[in-house]
Amino acid sequence: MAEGWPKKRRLLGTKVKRLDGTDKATGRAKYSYDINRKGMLHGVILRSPYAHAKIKSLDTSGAMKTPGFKALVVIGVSRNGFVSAIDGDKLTYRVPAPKKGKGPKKNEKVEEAKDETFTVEVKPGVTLLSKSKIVTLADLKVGDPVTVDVEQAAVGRELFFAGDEIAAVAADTEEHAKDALRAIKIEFDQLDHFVSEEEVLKNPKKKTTPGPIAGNLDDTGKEATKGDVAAGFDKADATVEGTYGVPVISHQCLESHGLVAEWDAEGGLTVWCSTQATVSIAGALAGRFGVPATKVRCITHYMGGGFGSKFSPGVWGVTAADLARRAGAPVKIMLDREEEITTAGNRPSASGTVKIAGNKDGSITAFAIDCHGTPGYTGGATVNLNLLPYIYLDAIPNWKRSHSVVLINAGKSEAMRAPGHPQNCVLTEFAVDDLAGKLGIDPLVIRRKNLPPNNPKTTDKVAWVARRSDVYNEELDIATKLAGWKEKWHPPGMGKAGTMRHGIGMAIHTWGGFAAGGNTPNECFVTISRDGTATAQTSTQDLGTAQRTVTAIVVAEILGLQPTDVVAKIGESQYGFSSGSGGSTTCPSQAPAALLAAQAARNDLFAKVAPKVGADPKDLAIEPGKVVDTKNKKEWAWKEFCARLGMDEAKGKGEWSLSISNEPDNANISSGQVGGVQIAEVLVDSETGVVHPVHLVAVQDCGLVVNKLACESQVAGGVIMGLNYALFEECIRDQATGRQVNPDMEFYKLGGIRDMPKISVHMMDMPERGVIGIGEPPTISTAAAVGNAVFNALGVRVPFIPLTPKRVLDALAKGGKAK
Amino acid sequence: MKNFTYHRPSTIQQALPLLDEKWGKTELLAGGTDLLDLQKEYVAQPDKVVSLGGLGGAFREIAVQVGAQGTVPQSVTIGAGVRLAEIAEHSSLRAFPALTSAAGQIAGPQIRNMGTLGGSLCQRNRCWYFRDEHVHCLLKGGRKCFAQEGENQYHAIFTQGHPCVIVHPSTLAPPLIAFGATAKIVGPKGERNIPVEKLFQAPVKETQREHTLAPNEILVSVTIAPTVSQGARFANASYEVKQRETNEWPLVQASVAFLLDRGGKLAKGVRVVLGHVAPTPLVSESAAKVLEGKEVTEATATAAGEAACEGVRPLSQNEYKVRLLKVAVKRAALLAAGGKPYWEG
Amino acid sequence: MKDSQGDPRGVSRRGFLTGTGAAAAAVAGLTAELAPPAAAQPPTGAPALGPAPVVLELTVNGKKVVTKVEPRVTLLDALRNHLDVAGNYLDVTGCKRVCDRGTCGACTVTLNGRTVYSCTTLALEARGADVKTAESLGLGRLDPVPAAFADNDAQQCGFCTPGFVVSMRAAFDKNPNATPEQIEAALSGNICRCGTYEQMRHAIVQLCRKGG
Repeated sequence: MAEGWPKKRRLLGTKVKRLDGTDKATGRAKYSYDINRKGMLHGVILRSPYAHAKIKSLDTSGAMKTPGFKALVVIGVSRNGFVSAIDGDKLTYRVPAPKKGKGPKKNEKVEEAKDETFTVEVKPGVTLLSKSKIVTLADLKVGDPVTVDVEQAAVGRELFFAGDEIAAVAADTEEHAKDALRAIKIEFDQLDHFVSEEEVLKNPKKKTTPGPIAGNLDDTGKEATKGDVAAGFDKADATVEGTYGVPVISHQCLESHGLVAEWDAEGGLTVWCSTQATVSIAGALAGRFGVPATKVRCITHYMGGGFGSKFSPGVWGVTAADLARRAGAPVKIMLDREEEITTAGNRPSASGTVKIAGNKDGSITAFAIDCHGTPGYTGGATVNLNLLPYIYLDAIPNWKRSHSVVLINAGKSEAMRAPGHPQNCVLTEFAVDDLAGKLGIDPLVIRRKNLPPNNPKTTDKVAWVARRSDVYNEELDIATKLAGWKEKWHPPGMGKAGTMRHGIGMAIHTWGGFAAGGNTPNECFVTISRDGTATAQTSTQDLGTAQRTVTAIVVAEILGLQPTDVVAKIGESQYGFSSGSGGSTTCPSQAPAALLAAQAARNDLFAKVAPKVGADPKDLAIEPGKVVDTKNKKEWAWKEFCARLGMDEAKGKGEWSLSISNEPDNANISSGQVGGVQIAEVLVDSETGVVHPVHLVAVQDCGLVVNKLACESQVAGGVIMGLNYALFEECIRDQATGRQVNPDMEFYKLGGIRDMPKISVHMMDMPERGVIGIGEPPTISTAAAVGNAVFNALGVRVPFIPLTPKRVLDALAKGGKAK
Repeated sequence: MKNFTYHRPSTIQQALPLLDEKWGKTELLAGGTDLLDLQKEYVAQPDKVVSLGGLGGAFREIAVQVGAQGTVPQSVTIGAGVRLAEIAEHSSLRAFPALTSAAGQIAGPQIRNMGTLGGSLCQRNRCWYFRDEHVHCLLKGGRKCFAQEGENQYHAIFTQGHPCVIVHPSTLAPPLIAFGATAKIVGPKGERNIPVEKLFQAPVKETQREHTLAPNEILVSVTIAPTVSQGARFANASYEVKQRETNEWPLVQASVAFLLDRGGKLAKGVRVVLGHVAPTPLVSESAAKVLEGKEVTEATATAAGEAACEGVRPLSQNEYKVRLLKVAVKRAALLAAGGKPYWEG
Repeated sequence: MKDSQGDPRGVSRRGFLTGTGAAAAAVAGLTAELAPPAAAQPPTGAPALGPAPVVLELTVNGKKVVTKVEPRVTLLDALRNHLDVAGNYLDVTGCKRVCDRGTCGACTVTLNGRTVYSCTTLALEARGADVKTAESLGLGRLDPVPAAFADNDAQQCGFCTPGFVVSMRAAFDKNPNATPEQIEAALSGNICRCGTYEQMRHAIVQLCRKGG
């Protein structure tokens, strides 16, 4: 049975400064973007300017003549393959996947190396080589080995969004690389495109995207119903219907995606990659280049934000490694801001019509939603339909939901901080407050009335479902008190008269935050040296969550040290197995692994030193700064005790995963499922439509808090990301040109310090539930709460976020309340 | 960015012969906050960049002729190379809050430490189609303005007769025009002085800029010399509607200036200038007329706002800017008259 | 589709991606680069520098550095990517490249005491200037501003942080008695994505109490 967390917490749950805070604040911390290697080249990527086109011709010869040019690759095209079909003047050839060496660890998401197939139109003058001889199409038969000129092979390749990759060059300086890129001559055949969801909905059968669906609209098999929806609407005191929506937004990681790739003389590859999954990156690159996983090393000591978008090496990463191999020199590719926004992922949009009905006592009797959203040119569901009607899924007796995916010619989505949840929360919570408005009741009443019920059947009393209603109610108590809800809430639009209208609104959310699933557990290794140094080693990465400090706090807690006494070595794929930082799984996987590793190292230390000090290991215990023999009432200073290790060192390994956490008695070490309540208070300038957020209260449970300082900072950060979502962010795409008009930080707006309200964070302390992840939940309900506060201020729903002056004024005009 | 040769003259006389008679091959570099962006986007691809960073003297100074009495200087000449932060904070400019508040609100401190008066007046527009290399719009020799029917929420609302519907980006131009300021320009033929108002034009083709300077001319300074009779108050203010307080462009701007006789309440010599609503800063005669000779009250200021919108023809997505313009004019007029910002209460 | 008819979709047919016109432009650029700069040089006393790399002397965080850059190289890129005359990277990491268009503030440095965006400043414009990045605040005794960021956890990923630190240090240098509101106003040219503003406010309060 696991020893578990210490009963008496010395460091855990206190406010601990992050270990690398000063290095970051003084700019000396080195991120992947900051890596400069001797002889390093800079790579840049040629991209489609069109939303949808085919390559008509490609001539790269000019690039090779520019100063500083070193290497070039045509992306998505390989040279050597086998003829798999000949159809008229079209040649289809197959390029076998590179042979794998020792593969990556199991359960790791790896970009699978698949055979690639290309079709080229063979016109007079096209060079085909077979067995080193120039041949014509007629000389070839299926199965023949063939080499196709890469430029010719690129001809006819379909490009599906503005930003789709075509070729890349490496040169001695970034400036020269861009010159070389511009010397590539390329012609396109433009094809029809859609970048507007509305246009797709008008022409659902028209196909401009890849994949098996007949048109761009996938509306198959995504419906569900519970209860008798029609009856639920019929018998209600009030029904409201509204159309609500959220836009596509960009992760806007400040450190863009990219890496530095360097091959060594032995065929090994080292990358300094801005990633939230060092081990996966190494595995993916190993698979792609047919190199044993042990020979690929991914280093991510510091990382400038990922938010879900940095699990894969991406085309840019693979291309950098490819260019480096061809040039025989290290190559750096970091995306520029436009590339970052248009090609490195986004959060899908969602909009839909919601009908909701309820009774004067606040009970919601029926809910129906029909929604759609876009993930870009490819990808699946854009909201997590299984969650709708979000928090009220279990409480509402009758509901109906459907969702369709709208494919457009734009970059594809990537997971973004609580995928699907912020969208669902807005679509649901806007409707709930509109219903409360129509019923003339306090939104607090309707929420309390429809909370997910406690599940009395669950055997595990620690578990969330056993007491979630109680937790939410307690969170509502705390949040409404902190926000002054009772004094400040007024019926919608009925606040104090004046130009500046006051409003207050709330929303609630949930999230998982369990340890990472999969068969390979997260690992942590702790070594105690004879000088008393404790070193913790794990391949996990610190995205800004203070994960490095989490590891140090846990080890220090167990070994009676201060966090600053612990050397936390993280962010290298060869430091053992760790899962990618997604789903708020990192802390609940890594903190227990560090706990077990530290306890094992301590036990090893006791076992090795006890005989030398005449003690029985089972009588030894650690107190701050010392080791004590509880039986013989003896004690040694920590360093003194460790010195007895002699030439030896004490070691311990810890492993943790979802399945381990699910074992009996482990629920106190890590678990999952959290709830949170947020309340926003705003002032809306009713003449200009400018929304000023004044105060944002976030009450959040997350089990056992490891570092209160960083935990609160995560919650406030999530809230600010939600405020940006509510007020400012939107990828604006122009249907005529097929291009995003704001792939920048000028008109893609993010708030600064003066745009943000006072933020009050309250962490619910529930140590009996063990560690639970916190990265994602606090960003979920913010936008919904802000939108509801604006509704409360104006008495008019502004149905789409971001709540720009345009949208606010348009809603006021529509609601007949314009000045 | 395309590479170029770089010159750093130390006098205007050294700078002038370095300029071309046509736009495109040579660019003047002041603070760089506009030019470098355009070069990075390959929208500007000069072969030669002439830096004004080496110029000193009057080009970088604020020269004040103190008035006989009262607080309004007889004249103030601001060198084109004076930085925005200096304009915002200079004690000699306190009588001109319409200008200093506009300067102090531009973007953030870094831009204000870099950008200059000349750069603010001569910068290119921020239209996202214009600034995208791959969009071949009117101002880049194309046949079409894509904002007319595209994403135009930030574009002009005074669009009649304008094939290109950019808004002029300078927030210093409206107050300077409201003050009746003059611009001093030097070129190969010598010096000329024109009202700041005449410095701007609505460009419709590649060979035009948003200003009327010839490619081989340099804006040297701007002089403010309001005629203020003894004891009168030179009332002036600007109001900008901005969505954010961080590095943000105004959605609309209004600058209002007028004279109030000693102890009097009636506005005289009213000037109302609108920003970010048309391809040039726009003098609103109709708004000025509403206020002329009247006390500036909530009612007259509101009426001026209504009048300012005469002739608007908004685009598909920017009807809201008409409403904002009314508010901006009203608030600027009330601020100029010394009113407290009612909207903050 | 012919160029002369314009393009209904609007994406430039004339731009560099569309073939011949583009190639010509690229070649023209090259020719200019290779042309002897003196040829067209009027006798003005303002000689042409470049397009070949130009020697550039700067003081960076108190240290004299000499590098060579093409005129188009920004101060940010010179500090981050370029080599000194001995062939070593300048390796300045306190200014980050994020928006590269003078909007986000991650590249903020002081140039002769004024905060500027180094991404939007030509390296040649900084010739002979005194350039300071956040790293200067960690040399010797740790400056109170980065210390307050660390104390209050006013950072997460940390990529924007050095830019904020430089802006805030400059604001306190300008006015040691600045109020929290004034300091916040001085940060209006910087953007944080992780959302550390609330913790920054804690840092500001701590610093205002001590006068920066």
